[in-house]
Amino acid sequence: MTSTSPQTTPLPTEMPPPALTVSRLTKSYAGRRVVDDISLTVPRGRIFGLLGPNGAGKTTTIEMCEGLRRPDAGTIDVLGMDPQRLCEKDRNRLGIVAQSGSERASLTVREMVAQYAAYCEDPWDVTELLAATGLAEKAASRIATLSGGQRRRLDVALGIVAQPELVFLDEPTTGFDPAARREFWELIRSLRDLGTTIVLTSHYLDEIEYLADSVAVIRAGRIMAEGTLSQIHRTHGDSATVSWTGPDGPQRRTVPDPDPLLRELLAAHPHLPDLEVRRPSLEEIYLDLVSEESPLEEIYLDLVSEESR
Amino acid sequence: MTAAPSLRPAAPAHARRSPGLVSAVAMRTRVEMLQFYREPLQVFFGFAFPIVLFAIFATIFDQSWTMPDGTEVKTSTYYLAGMIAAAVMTSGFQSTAEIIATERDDRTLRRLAVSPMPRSAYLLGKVVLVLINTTLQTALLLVVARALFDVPMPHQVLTFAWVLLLGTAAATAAGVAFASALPSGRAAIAAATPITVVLSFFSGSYIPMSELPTWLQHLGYVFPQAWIARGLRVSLLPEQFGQEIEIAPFGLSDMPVLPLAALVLTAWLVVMLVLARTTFRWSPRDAG
Repeated sequence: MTSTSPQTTPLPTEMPPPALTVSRLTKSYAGRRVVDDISLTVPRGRIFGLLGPNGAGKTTTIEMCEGLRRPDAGTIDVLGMDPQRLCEKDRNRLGIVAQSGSERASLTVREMVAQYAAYCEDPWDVTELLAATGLAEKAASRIATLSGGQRRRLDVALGIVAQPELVFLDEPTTGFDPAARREFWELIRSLRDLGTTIVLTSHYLDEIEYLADSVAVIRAGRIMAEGTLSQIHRTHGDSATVSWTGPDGPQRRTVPDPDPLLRELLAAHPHLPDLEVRRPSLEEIYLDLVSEESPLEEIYLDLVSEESR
Repeated sequence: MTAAPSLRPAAPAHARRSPGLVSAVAMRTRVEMLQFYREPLQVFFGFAFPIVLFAIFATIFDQSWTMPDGTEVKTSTYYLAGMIAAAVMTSGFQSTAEIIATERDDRTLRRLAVSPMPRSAYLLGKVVLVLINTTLQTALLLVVARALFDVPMPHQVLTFAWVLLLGTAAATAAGVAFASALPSGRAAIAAATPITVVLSFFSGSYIPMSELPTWLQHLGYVFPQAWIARGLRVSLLPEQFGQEIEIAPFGLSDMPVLPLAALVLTAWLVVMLVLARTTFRWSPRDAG
């Protein structure tokens, strides 16, 4: 039992503070609560996905975190800073991928990225950044000649050129073709692997599934579910839809536990053609969380009638 | 192309720099110049228009005033001053307002605002661009006036220079303020041209001031363009012209014209700067 000497093993380092903490954030427009008392925490070095349909309040939430919109109530802490009070130096730490429909597009891609790199304290190398964002071939081309997807990639390059600690991405792959989306996902993952925290909004479930370490599902300004995707699946997927064809025609019932219903059915009807027990998929859970009126059953019916497996 | 992308910093950690305002302004100037001069048709017509207008006026209204001592002052000399003043307004006020309004609407400003760029670098870059363009335009006008119309060069070079400089600054400040005054970029663009054109009619650019009714001349002297033209005329025309033909703006016949011009232009500059500072938006109007 030796007494501790000054050179004992160091204490394990504490968890670093979260990259983003949102507390009771609220914003209203014309009397309507677009963001309704939401709270979020995003740990460092993780990809956080804010998933929800259009009009759910994702963009407004992100813009308040970026400091581009003023909240009506609540607090936001981004890397220990108040987004409404950022000075220019602070902006080296925060990457915002902004969309722009650039009309004055006579600069080349390289010139544009080099411009923004020149304002930064510690930017990525421009050539490597262009390669990483898939713009190497278009480096010497004028921005006016870029396709929509290439413009978006340029937006990303400009948003991350400062080597920020945290990057905000608002619906980044809207309009991308599948190959471009995949490449983009790899870029985001590699950014995360380099230690960057990513906050991403999307209405694409597959994108969130692929990228996000943790997720919040938002609908009409409120968080409907939060956690990792498997947690959400477990928490909100604990129901089953039992369907069969009875004497009165096709029947469907959604119950938290199918066992009693199944026993009842099998006892009452010796023949049960088309008996099926289905647990909701992640997509169905998501749709149920974000749909306004229809219960899960209705959505399941719609899905089943439209798809051709 | 599925290999994991590699990224590395431009400079090693110990070589981090702290880019300052000067380097940011230098970069913005470079960007402004590239964006302007890479549109050859716009450049050509932009520079040619005042020259063509000048040539037209100097040819059509080929008259002269006769001074008491017999010297002749040709209208072409008058128009040179007026055209330079109009060009200053086009470049400083109209062009600046239109471009800022456009860059706000297409979210270029917003992207700059969320970057580490020092914010004043944006307007300073615009000012440098306007100064460069105005100098070029003025040089072209002087060359054409001399070569084709035998217009004498300014006999008070210092006056010519400071009137041009101060006038450009005031016009640019007005352009910046105007870009934020109207609710949308398109409104600003639509309004800038008529304002610029109409102003030229009672600033001594399209019509000599002496041809206008007195009340309209006084109205013209409320605005900077008339003072730029007047100040340039002092440097280009003989002193007698000012005494015989020009009016005393606002009836202030005791005040010498040049200090009055400096006063009015500076007042415009200051007021417009204050307005610009308080109303400038980096985001389009729909942002909360």
